[in-house]
Amino acid sequence: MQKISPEQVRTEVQKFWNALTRKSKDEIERMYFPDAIVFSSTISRTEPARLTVMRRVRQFFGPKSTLHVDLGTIDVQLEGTTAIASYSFNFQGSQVKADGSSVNHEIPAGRGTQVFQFDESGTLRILHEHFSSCEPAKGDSSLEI
Amino acid sequence: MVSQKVSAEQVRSKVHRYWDALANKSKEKLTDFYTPDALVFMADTRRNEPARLMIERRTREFFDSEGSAGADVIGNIEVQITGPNVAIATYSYHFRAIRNRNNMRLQIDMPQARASQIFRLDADGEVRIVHEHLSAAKLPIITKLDS
Repeated sequence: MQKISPEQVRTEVQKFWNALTRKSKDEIERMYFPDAIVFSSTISRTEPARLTVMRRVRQFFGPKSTLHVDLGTIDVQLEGTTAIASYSFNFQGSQVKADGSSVNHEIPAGRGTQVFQFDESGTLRILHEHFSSCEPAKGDSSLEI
Repeated sequence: MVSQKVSAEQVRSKVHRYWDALANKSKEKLTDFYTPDALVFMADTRRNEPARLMIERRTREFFDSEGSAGADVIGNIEVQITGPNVAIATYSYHFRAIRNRNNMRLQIDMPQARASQIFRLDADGEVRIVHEHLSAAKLPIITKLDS
């Protein structure tokens, strides 16, 4: 059985945010198991990760939109074949809508939990994710991350 | 060596007992829900912290005074079994509390709260929380009460 190391998990978390800020839909999609479930920042129920990815693409992957994130220390807990990453983050994004208007978003006190496991090919993937903020988001209140 | 396997029903039952322990203001019982190395995100904290610190704070703010805390689970508790000894519970809940902080009594109503709790089956056959992420989808309603 393949063992997970904390460094592998930290690398995957960095890869996730790098893929998001580079607006790489394919990379983001590949990071989740097909049956992964997600609590995104302001939705009261869980949803399949594929829906979360579609919303992020719609909201932030436009050619003029920008995304920036600063991550805090990534703590990793290992439980057998399961790894849990938890960290704080600060997220800033600008969404440029079809009519050219721009909306700025900021999550100043974001918190993330991402649970990873290896898939059959030995790639670490996310099977559960919980993003939240302990302070109200700034800017448009419809922000989801 | 644990030969048992964690079950979804065991996890759901534990989630309900967890909120009962909180409502009953039992520090000892609440402590036993967590592994010694558990990390938690409470709904109003910027960073994760060891569960034992959170329990001390809850004891101070909810248990050792006229405070109170309770929750109703809303809808299903989804359980993902990730291995023989590990399971993830996710659900929504309505949290209500009266908290004492900085000499103020506050009533907190958080109707759209969300929980992720990751459980490990321990050698004594009990499932315990190794990681917890509690959050609010919408801002809680906080009312200052007369002291």
